[in-house]
Amino acid sequence: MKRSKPIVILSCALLFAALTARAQPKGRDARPPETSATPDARVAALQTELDRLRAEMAALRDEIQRLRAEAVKADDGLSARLLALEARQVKLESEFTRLSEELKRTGDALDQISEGEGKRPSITVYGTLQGVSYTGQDSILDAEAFEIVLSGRPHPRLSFFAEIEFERAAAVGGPRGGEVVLEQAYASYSFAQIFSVRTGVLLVPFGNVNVDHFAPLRDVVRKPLVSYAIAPSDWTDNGIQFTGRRLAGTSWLFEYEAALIAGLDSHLTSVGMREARQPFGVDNNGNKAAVGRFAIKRSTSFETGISAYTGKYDDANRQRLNGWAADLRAEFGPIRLTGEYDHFTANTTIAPKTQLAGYYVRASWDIRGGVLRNLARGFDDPRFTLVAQYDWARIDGPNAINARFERNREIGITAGFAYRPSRQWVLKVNYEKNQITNDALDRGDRRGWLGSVGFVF
Amino acid sequence: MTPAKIGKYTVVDLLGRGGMGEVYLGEDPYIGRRVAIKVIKGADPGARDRFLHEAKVIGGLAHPAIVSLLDFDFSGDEPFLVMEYLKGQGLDAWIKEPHSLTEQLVVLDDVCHALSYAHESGVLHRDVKPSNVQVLPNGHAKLMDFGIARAAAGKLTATGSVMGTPEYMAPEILNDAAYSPRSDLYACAVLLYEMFTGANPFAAKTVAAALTNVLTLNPPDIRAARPELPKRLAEAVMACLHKEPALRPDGFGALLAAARDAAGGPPPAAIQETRALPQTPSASRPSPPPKAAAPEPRRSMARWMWGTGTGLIVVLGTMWAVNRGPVAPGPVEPAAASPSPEAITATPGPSLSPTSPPAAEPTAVAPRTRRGPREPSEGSVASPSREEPMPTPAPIATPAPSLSASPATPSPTPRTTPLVEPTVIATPVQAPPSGASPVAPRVLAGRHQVRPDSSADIDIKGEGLRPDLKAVVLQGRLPATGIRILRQEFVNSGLIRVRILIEAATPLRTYSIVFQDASGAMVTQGVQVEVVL
Repeated sequence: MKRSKPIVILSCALLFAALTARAQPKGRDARPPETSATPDARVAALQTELDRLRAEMAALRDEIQRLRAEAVKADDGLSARLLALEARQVKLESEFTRLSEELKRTGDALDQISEGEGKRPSITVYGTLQGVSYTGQDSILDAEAFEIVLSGRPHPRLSFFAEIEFERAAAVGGPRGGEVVLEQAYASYSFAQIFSVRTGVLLVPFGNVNVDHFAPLRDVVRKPLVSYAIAPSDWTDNGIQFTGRRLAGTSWLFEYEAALIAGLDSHLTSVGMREARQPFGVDNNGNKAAVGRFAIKRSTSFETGISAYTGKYDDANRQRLNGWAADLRAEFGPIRLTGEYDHFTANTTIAPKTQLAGYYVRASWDIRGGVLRNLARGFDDPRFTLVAQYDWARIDGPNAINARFERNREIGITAGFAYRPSRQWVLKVNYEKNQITNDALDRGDRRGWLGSVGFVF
Repeated sequence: MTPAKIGKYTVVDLLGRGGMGEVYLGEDPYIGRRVAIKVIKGADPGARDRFLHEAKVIGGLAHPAIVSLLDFDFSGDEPFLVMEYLKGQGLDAWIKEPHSLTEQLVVLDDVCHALSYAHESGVLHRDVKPSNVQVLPNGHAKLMDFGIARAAAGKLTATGSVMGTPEYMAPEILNDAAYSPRSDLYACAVLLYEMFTGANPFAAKTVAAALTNVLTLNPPDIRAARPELPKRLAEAVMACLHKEPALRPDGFGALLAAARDAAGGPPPAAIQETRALPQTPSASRPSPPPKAAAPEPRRSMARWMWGTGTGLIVVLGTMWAVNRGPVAPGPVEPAAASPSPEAITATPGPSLSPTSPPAAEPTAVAPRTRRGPREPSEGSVASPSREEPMPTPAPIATPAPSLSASPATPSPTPRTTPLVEPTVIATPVQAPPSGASPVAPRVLAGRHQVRPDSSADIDIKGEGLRPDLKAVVLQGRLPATGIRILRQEFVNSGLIRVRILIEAATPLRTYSIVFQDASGAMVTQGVQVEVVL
């Protein structure tokens, strides 16, 4: 029976590794249902047994001491008891030694498992289903996206991050449309905290929507107008990126991200720059665009950043596109304010410069407790968020079809709520009212209801 | 006769006996935890219903300042409650001893937060009085005995039989039995009045006289008996004693704000922070603190307005300047929060019966020495007479020594070392007086979600925590990469705040924070930190 213990432990360890269960260190008071099947639980049990043995040995020692003192004037019977107790003590010490060795072996096995697990990629998924009903249009149910996020750090200074999007999750191409996009996929080599290099498919560091584009985490259903028509989020590109951060004290964090990328091409039109994103592995002019963002953060309650972009966009490699953005996110207790302003200017040879600008301002109010606690019974931290957002965008540029210079405006007002029983699931309902001048940049002159269910696991 | 076992629990001692039931000191045979077991005798369906009701009420509340229900079961046909076994003494006995204002403010803070949380949860206590508050050895207080508590919903305008203790009953209850959160506020104010002055303003020799006082007597200004009491605090207490419920403050915000003001700021805030970290997930967000008790948003708002008004560049400069100053004021450990040895006692509680005469309320118990050495036994309780009402188990805060790592225990991962030497901001605390039993460090299980490329404060709550403990982040059992500890702030023996930095490409998985002692041995279990999108 005793010999079988190491085998049991090893079996547990192998099973643990096979199932990629996460070995979290648990104290002896860890909850049994969560740990009973893990090697750590075995360690805890061994520890408990060791403690019991230790206590028993201490009691025995005391008893032996007491008996020894009495044995001087005691009869033979007491001496016999003393001998028996001493024998018991020897046996216990032997058992104690054996258990200690077993504990050490188990600990070593768990260390190896932890090391292996630390090098293994992690998988996270997120996605959304949208329901949209605009005036004058048929309502739509749209499983907009399902994304797989892979991340890993096989070495303290080497890491990777990849995000694969299955948009309109159907067959790729063909009559049902759909696409698979590698939104991000980069490897990072950290020389120091202040300087790391990323290479691969990068998320262009421009504005707070693009750098934190995960839809289920937004309080509104749709991304802001400015991040659709002006900064073409999700804006990714091939390139090399330099990042770094520096702590100021322990509260403030200064970060930069600077990248050389293929950049946007000449498909800048009077309705936006989305078409100017180039396919991967292609560059229309050989000129590399430079883009970067500098941000200041304080915990999760405050973040502000400024971004800049410059690069030649025309095929002849003559005309330059310059842009900048400022963004802010600040929390005041349950109130959260978020906003971003983007501005781009594209030089042209004969026509007026193409000007693109826009911003959004969003106010969110988190409500916790009260009725919500009953509604979300069983969840740790349910949250109900009331949200309002104002969007504005302006593009003065050439019409893509007739090349006439146009001045297009669009504004939007969004109000609604987001209900999150946990961080992993969200229900959002919005009412939008949009108004345009000339051509629509995104939503057009429409009002409508939007709903979505998002998840992150 | 004391039973050997109740349910699975081994009965260690009888803590108290009343006309309706008994309270035993028990021990969980599997994990060795000491508990208080409350059983009800007889088949009175009303009493059983109230007993079950109490279980449901307490079971629905999870707050550090409210006694926790651990179990409810039947032993044969007899229902029993298993509650945390609290050391310390009842507030009724505690207030008879001299205490500093700081110590009293800790109790105020705890009681007010507990009631505020209960009200937020839709529960009215309805019997707030000193004997239903247990002061723990660390100076914090816990509210207990929800035997006559009722759900606030539907009850705010409901009438019912009068329950409670006359001296603490709000006048409107005697007039039309219309309970409201303001009735609890009133009772709390009477309790505070008594705590600060040593005397109940409505006390009388007979129940009838006490009731008359409640209805007609305007209590003298609290500062007449306690001149050194800060004016704002005194006014806040007196405002809560108004005969007309509508003229009392709405909620406990004014009391808490006055207490903070009286303490000069940090102590109540620190207390509140410790309270904000719950023993259970739902308590992790106790009732939203009153506006007056939450200064941080106002400071943030000021910074925001200033920053937006002067432009981004100036903001940067200001932030830099701010950063060069002190990072954060270390909370001042309230004197009362320092551990002090105390005889372990159990306090017979109030009556569950509306008909029990107040005069029959049991008075606590065994002689105790507040600052004296710990008594060898777990505590002693004078048994109330048969006529006395159902005793309430004196709660708990069991250190659960069998669950804690022994200092001599070899650590399973002795080679674990911190990635970054944390900046330890040690808050001055009083060392436990000699003779106090050291409590092995232990943290409460918790899970925190953080995002990559950010920093976050993790409040780790437990007991027996010490300034010399060092937090480390583990991936499995090995030091984690991608998460660094920036700062470690010892708030008190029940709370250590750890600030971590999560780097941008940190893998999205679960890590844990554990504490090591000076020898590098891991002395606590882990608190989970989940890195999420």
